[in-house]
Amino acid sequence: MSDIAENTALADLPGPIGNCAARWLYQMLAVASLTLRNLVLRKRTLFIVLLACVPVAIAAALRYWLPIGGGRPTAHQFFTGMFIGPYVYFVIVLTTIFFGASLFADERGDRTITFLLTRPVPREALVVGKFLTYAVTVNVMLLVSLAVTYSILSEMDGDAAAFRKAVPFLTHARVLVLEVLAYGALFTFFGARLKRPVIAGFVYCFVWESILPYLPVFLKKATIMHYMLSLSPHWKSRGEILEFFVEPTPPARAVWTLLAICVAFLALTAITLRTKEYSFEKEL
Amino acid sequence: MTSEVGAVQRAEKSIEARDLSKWYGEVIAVNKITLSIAPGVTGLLGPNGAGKTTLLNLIAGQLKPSQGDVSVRGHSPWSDCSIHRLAGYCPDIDSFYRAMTGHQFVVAMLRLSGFRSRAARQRAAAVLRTVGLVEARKKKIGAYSKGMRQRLKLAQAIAHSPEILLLDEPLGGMDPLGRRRSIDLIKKLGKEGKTVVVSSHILHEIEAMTNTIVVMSNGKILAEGNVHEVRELLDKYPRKVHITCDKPRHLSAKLVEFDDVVSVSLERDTPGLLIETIKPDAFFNRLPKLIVSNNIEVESLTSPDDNVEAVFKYLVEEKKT
Repeated sequence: MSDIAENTALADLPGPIGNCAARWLYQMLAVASLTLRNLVLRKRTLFIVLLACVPVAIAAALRYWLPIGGGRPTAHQFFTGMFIGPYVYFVIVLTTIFFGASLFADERGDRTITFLLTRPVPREALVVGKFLTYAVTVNVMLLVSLAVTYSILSEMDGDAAAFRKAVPFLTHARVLVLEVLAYGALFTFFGARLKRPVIAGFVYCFVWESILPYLPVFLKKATIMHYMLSLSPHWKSRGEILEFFVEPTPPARAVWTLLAICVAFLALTAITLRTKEYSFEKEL
Repeated sequence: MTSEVGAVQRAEKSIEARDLSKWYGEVIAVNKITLSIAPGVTGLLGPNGAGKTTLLNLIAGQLKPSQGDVSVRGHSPWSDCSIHRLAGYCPDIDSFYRAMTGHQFVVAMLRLSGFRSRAARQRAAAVLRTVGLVEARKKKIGAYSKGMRQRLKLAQAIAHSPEILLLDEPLGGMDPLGRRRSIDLIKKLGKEGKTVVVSSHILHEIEAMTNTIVVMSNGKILAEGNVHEVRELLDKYPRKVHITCDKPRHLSAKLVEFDDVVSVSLERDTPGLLIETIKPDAFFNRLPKLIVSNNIEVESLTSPDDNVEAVFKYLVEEKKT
C-alpha cells in the first residue's frame, strides 16, 4: 500500500503493456504464477510428493536390506524394474492424471474459471501458462525422485561407474520428461473438456493401455505408452504377449510423435476453451 | 444526414442485442431480446430466474447465443476475448482463490489483464481503497465476510478501468455501509461516462443507482426506460391491501362505498379482508379516519403488492394483454 499515494485515481496509474507479444508473454507468465500458487496449496500435491518418494523408499530398502551376492539381481536389473514398473506405469501416470486434469478441472470445480475467462487473456496463453507450470513442477519433482533412486541403486553393487555406463540417467530422464509432457497434455485436455477428467484418465491409462499387449499392432500405435516404451532402453524386457507382432517405433520418430501428441492436445484444449461454455448459473 | 445521425446513435450504444436468445435444452433462459444500452447506469431488474444472469453472461462472452447476436462496442464478446480489455465483469457466483489475500487476488487479476507487477500492485491498492477494503487487504479471502467478498468482486471488475461494467447482483450480502459506498461508486462510474449494467431483483436498490431500468421476467424484457414510467404502469392496476381486524364485515361495508375500491373480499377462516383499490394513496389517507370513527381494532395491515414480484406480475399481465 506504500507504493501508491492517497487518493491516486486509477486513470492516473500506468496502463497495460502496449506491445502485443510482450503482453502475451506477460499474461502467460501471470497464468503460470497463478497456477503454481494453486498447485502448491493443494493437499493433492502432498500426496503426489509422497507418491514420488515411493520408488526412492523401495530403492533405499533394496540397497540397505538385501544382502550382496547369493543370486540377487544386479543393480542394473533393479533399476530397469524400478523404471518400467513404479515410474513409467505407476508414479508418472498417476502424477500426470492428477496434476494434468486439475489444471482446468480445479478452476471449474472452484468456479474460478470465470475470472480467467473474463480477462483479456488469449486462450493459447492460458493453456501454455498452465501447462508450463505443470510441466516444470511435475518434471522437477519426478526427476529429483528418479535421480535419487538412480544414485541409491548405482551404489548397490559397489561399482557405480559400471552401473552408470550401463544405465545412462539422461536416457531415462528423457523418457520421463516426454511421458510427463504427452500424458499431461492429454489430461489437460480431459480437464478442460470433461466433467470427470480423473476418471477418464484412469480409464485411459488403466483400462485402455492395460490391454495394450493384447491389441492388434495398429491399435498399439494409437497409445502414448507405445511410444514411451519405444524410447525406453528396456524394450525387450517388457514381456508383452504380442511383443513379436510389433516393432518399436524408431526413437527419433517416437520423440516427434510424443511432442506432436503434446502440441495437438494443447491445441485442442485451447479450442475447447474458445468453444465451451463454462457458466455456473443458478438458473441452470 | 439521416444515416449520419443513425451512425452517431449507434456509436453511442455500448451494448446491443438483437433477437438474442439462449436456451438450455427445453428451458429458454433468454427469449428474443432486442436491447440497446448506452453509457450511464442501467438497472436490470427481475425476479430470480428472470434471465438476468444469462443476459449478463451473454454480454460478457461467457455464453454463446443460441440465436440472434449481441455486440459490445461492435465486437462479438463470445468470439473476441480482447473485449475484456474494455469490460469488467462482477459475477454473481461467490467463488475465489480463497488462499489468496484480497490484494493478491486483485493483483493477479490485473496481471492477467496485461499489467506489469508494479502497475498491478499500485492499481490494486487504489481500487481496494475505493471499495473500502484497504484494512482487510492482507487478510485471506477465506476469512472475508460475504459483503467483503462482494466488494472484492467489484474491485477486480473495475481495477483495469474498463469502459463497460457488468455487475451481477453486486450488492447482495453487503452491510448498509458497504451498500451505500458501492451505490455511490456505481453512480460515480455512470456519471464518468462508463456503461454500467447492474442486475438486481430489488427495485429500490436499482432506484438508488439509476433511473434507467430494464425489467425482465421469464427471459423477456417486459419494460424498459425511466423507472418512474415503469412505476406509472403500476397505477393502471388495482393495488391489493390486506387488513385483519375485529369487525371485518363492518369495515368491508364501509369500504365498498368508496369509488376507488374495486373489490372487497372477506376471508373465510380468518378475520381478514382483501381490498383492491385503484387509488392507493387516497385509500391510505382515508383509512385511519375510517378505522378510528368506526372503533375498529386493526391487527395487521399489509399490501401484498409492495414487493417487486408484484411489479413483475403486473407487467407480465400487461404484456399478455
